[in-house]
Formats: sequence, structure tokens, C-alpha cells
Amino acid sequence: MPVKNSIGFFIAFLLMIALIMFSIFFFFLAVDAYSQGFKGTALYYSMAGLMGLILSTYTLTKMILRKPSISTILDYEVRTLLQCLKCGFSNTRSFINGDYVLGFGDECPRCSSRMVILAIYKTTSKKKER
Amino acid sequence: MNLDAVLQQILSSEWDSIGLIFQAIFIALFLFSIFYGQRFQIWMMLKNVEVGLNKIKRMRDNARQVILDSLKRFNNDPSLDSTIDRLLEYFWIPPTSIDPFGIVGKIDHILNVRERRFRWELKSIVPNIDESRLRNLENLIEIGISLDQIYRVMRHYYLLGKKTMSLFLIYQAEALMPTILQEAEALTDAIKSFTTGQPIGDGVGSLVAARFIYGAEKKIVSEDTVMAEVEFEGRKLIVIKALGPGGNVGKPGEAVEKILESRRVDVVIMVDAALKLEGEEVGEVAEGVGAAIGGIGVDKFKIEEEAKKFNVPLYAVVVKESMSDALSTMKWEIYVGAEKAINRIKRLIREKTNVGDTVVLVGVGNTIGIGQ
Ligand SMILES: [Zn+2]
Repeated sequence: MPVKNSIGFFIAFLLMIALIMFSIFFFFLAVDAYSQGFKGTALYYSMAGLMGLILSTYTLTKMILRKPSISTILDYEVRTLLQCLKCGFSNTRSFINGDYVLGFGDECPRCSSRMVILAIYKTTSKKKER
Repeated sequence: MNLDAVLQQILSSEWDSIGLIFQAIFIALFLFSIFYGQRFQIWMMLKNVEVGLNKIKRMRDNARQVILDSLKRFNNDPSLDSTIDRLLEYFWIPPTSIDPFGIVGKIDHILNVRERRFRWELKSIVPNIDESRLRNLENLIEIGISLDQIYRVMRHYYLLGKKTMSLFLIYQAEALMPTILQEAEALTDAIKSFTTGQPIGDGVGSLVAARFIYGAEKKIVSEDTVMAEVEFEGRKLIVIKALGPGGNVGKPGEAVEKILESRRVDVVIMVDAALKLEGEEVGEVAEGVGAAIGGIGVDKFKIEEEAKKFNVPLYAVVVKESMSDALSTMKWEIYVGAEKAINRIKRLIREKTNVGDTVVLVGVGNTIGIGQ
């Protein structure tokens, strides 16, 4: 789902950017006040600036690094392991519909008897991130 | 207007007045958190529940679509949509437990009726389908029902919470959401396995049983359940498993009942997949006593009853895996676990029985994608 491109996200993003600008402006005010000798005022301004900055960066990183939403699409490959019970030849290939464990698989390339499917397993199970 | 002028204006006021403004803001925030803090928190929790609910809804809709697609391959009736919705809402009412005597038999009866009815219904939609595909479709619809049920219940609590604004209702819904989401995800994983007929982790018990009887002569012992007799180091080994490779769990309880009633048995060994705890490895094998079988408890009850009646020891061997492993296509680690379980069972038989004894081995689990 394109969560990140929604209008809500855009507005929140703009608000946070505005808050960052505002915080920086407060820092300027603090520096100015300090240079003119208003130490208490400078402290208040820098506190306000710091709070704004922390709040906005925290929210922004949260928004940008938002956990990928749960995907129902699983990305893994399913392999079939076959073995010839006569000569011991074994082979793996991709799963084909109709395969089942202990069922007959392809012909053995060495002795051309039918191989047995010993295992059907998934190789990787990583979820697609969006 | 230049910046300097603005600064001058602000700075010319005494710093006391600025302090006053800040204090006023803090007091306002404090009052806000006292009077509206809880409301705000409720609102946040409600949002969390809503996000989770939307995920579940997507999973449910996806499941429904998959079911519809796989049925459409066999039948192109335009009324299929409504039929599926009807099937997805099919429920069963558990018998009363005010007087619990004989409740297992009643549950068994009701579930059998449900199963027969369900199978009949499906067969009327897709008449020319082979048995193993039919079982897979049945399983697929069961998954759909579970997801639908989860969605409905969570939606109920969400809407009720929204209506009443009750902290405790919403709190409960929010607290349960992560585990419920996990369950829904596991069910979603299962869909792929059941549409393609790949073995799932839950089938490890069936796999172990099948490995003991590969090539032996099998016969049907109860509905969807096969048994075979093989020799193992001088012992007679009677192996029971669900009929594969369709998605079956069979009726192991009934099968054990029949065998124990008809002949002398010295030991019953059950092998099944068990839910691992967080921190345990997939494919770990553990051993113990008791009836290793899940589900509603009908089969468990029957096996325990028979074991008690004939004073037969019950041994259990389990392969550990998570819920999502159990419902999705088997991992390689589970095959390794199955191999270990086979060796454990062989050792158990050597240690606990004598030559000439009869051993019943029950492979429990959904045998989809596993033959015999
Ligand atoms: Zn060969």
C-alpha cells in the first residue's frame, strides 16, 4: 500500500519541516539574546528550540523509517529433492505442481528407473519489504 | 520587515514576561494532559487497532480471492461468489458443557456432520475433482473461515470500543492485536502451500510415519486414515497416518481405538509437530509421555481412553516448530528434525519393547503433499 505517498503523510512532513525551521529560528533568537546579555531569555529560547528540534526529528525519522507493512506475498523458492533408490543418484530441482513427498518423480538419468521424491522444502523465507 | 527589527522588539521586553508565557504554556499542557490525556491515549490505541484490523482485512480478502480463483478453475458459475461467502460463514455450535459427561462424543458427532455437509457442498460446486484436490480445497476454505472469523471478531471489538470509548475494551483489543496478527499471517502463509499441495510443517508426524511404511502394503483403517504393518528388528510395527497426499488429518483416534480393541498392543508411540517456544530451534526433537495430538481433543480423548483401558504405555516424540512453520511449506530443518525423530523412535522401540512385541506408531498431522 502506498502509505508514504498519502496526503496525510505529506501534510505531516511539511508540518515537521516547518517546526524544524521554527526551532532553528529560536536558536538564532537565543544566540542574539545571549550576545545582548539577556541570559535567562537565551536559556528559554534555546530550550524551546531544542524541544522543537527533538520533537520534529523524532517524528520525521519515525515517519520515514516506518516499518514496512505486513506483506501477504511471500518470497521463497520451493525445491524438490529426488533420489534414485536403485543407484543412489540424487538431484534437486524447482517444485512442480503434482509433486509430493514419497511420490514418484522424474526418470533417473543414470539407470532410467523412476526416482522418488524425498523432500519438498522452501529455501528462503524473506518477506518482501515495501 | 527586517529580522533585526523583530528581534529588537521581542528582546526589548523584559525576560520575566517571556518566562511567564512559557509557564502559562506548561500549565496549559499539564491541564490538557490531566483532562484529555486519557482520551488522547484511547484515540492513539484505537488508531493502532484500526491499522491492525486493516491488515487482517487485506489478508482475509486475499484468501477469499485465492479460494475463488482455485474454484473457478473447475467451475465457472457466476453465482460462485455468493456460494463462497455462504461457505465462509458456515459455523458449528459446540455442545453444552453444563453436563460434561459424554461431551467428546457429541463434539465428534457434530464435527462429523459438519465435515460431511461441507464435503457434499464442495462436491456440488466442483463435481469432477479428485479426492486429494478436494481435500486441499477443503483445507483452503477452512483457512478462509479462520481468517474471516478473526476479522469479524476484531472488527467487533474495534467498533464496540469506538462506540463506547471504553478504555478496557480498546486496551484488550490493542494488547491482543500482535498475537492475532501473527496468527493471521501464519494462516496467510498456509494459503500458498494448500493451493499448490506442498507439504507443511505440521505434517512432520505424517512424514515420519510414512518413512516407516514406504513400500509396504496399506489399507484404510478409518476415514481418510491408512495403516500398514511392517517388521522392525523382530517387533511388529503397526503404523497409522492420514491418507496422503491430499490435505488430510485423518481420524487417528478412531484408528487407535479399532486396533487396540482388536489385538494385543504393548506400546503406543505418537509423533507430532509441537509448537516451539521463542528461543528454541526449529526441528528440535523432544521426547516424553502422553498423547501427542492437537486439535479440539476428540482424538486425544479417544487415544487416552483406550491406552488407559488396556494399560498400554503412551510415548510421545515431537518435532518443534513455530506456528508459521507449521502452516507453511516445510523448511529443510524440519526434514532434519524428522530424521532425528525417526532415530529416536527406533531407539525407543529397542529400549522399551522386546522382540515379538507389537508397537503402534501414530504419525499425527496434516499430510498434505506427503504420500505413503
Ligand atoms: Zn538410478
